[in-house]
Amino acid sequence: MKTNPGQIPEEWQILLMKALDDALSEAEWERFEQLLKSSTEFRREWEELSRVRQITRKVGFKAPRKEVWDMYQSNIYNRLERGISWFVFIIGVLLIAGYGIFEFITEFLTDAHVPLVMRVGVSLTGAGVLALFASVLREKLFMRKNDPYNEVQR
Amino acid sequence: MDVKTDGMERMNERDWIEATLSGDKRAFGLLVERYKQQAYYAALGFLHYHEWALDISQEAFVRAYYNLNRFDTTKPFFPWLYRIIKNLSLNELRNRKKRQSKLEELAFLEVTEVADTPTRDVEQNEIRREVWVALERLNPRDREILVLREFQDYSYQQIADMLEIPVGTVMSRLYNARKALKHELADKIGDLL
Repeated sequence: MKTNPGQIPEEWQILLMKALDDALSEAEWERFEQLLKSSTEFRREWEELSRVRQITRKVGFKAPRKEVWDMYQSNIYNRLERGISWFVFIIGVLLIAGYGIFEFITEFLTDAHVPLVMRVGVSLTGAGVLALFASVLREKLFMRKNDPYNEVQR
Repeated sequence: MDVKTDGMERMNERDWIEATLSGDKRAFGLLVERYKQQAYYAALGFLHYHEWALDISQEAFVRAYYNLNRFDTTKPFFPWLYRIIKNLSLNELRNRKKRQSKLEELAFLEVTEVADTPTRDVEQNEIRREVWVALERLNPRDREILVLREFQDYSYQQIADMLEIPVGTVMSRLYNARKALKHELADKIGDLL
């Protein structure tokens, strides 16, 4: 029988838990009753833990409103659809952007008929827009993680 | 969704998972239907707020759907879902810093006895508060196993599957957790009974 220092034997622990949770077999029940009669320590443990169990039995999780369950499954389907939609959308954007950049480099930047100042101007405008977008995105992501007023009801 | 039309409701959990993997979303709907309440309460046990528990439990189903091909169909589904919920909930808690102050409301708990008088309401609030304050003081491992057993009424075997530990360990952990709770409630036990 395993025993940790300062603790009752493991067999006693198991019997006490099963008794509290109404899970004793007939043989275990006999052993439990025998220990209750023969051991003051076992009896004291049983009385103390029974009282704790009586208290925890009084408290439970509050059930949500019934309507919550009506929408539960459709919310999951919406999320699934949204996930797939985002994936498809991003793939599409990447394809278009890739093709656009390729065309921009091979057609526009190398086109000798377009004035140099125009080519440089368009390139700088494009680079600026991309840099601004990246900066705003980074700030939004940072705020989402670290917003100290996240919990405040707005 | 009319599940009764194709006899799908008579299929077991494993069949539903295999049907989902073959592209049948309705089969996944049956899994959601079966486990939505357990999933919600599992999340509530960690998060303590109705909206968060709803959000995380639904997100857990979405993650389960996308990762279903990695699930071992010889094992029960809910313990696997529980572990997804647990991971998502712990991540969520790390991102929420003002949880403690709002917890005072304890709106997610109820006393199972019926309130008859205003005095009784006060007593019930006291029971809720004392029990939850004591639980909050326990280490997370003790709290988790107590919530699973006392608040969600899972069997030892179910808890063993969810926590991936032997049944014997469930009982000895539960013993230690109940002893720790007794220690935390200490001299208030008499008043709360």
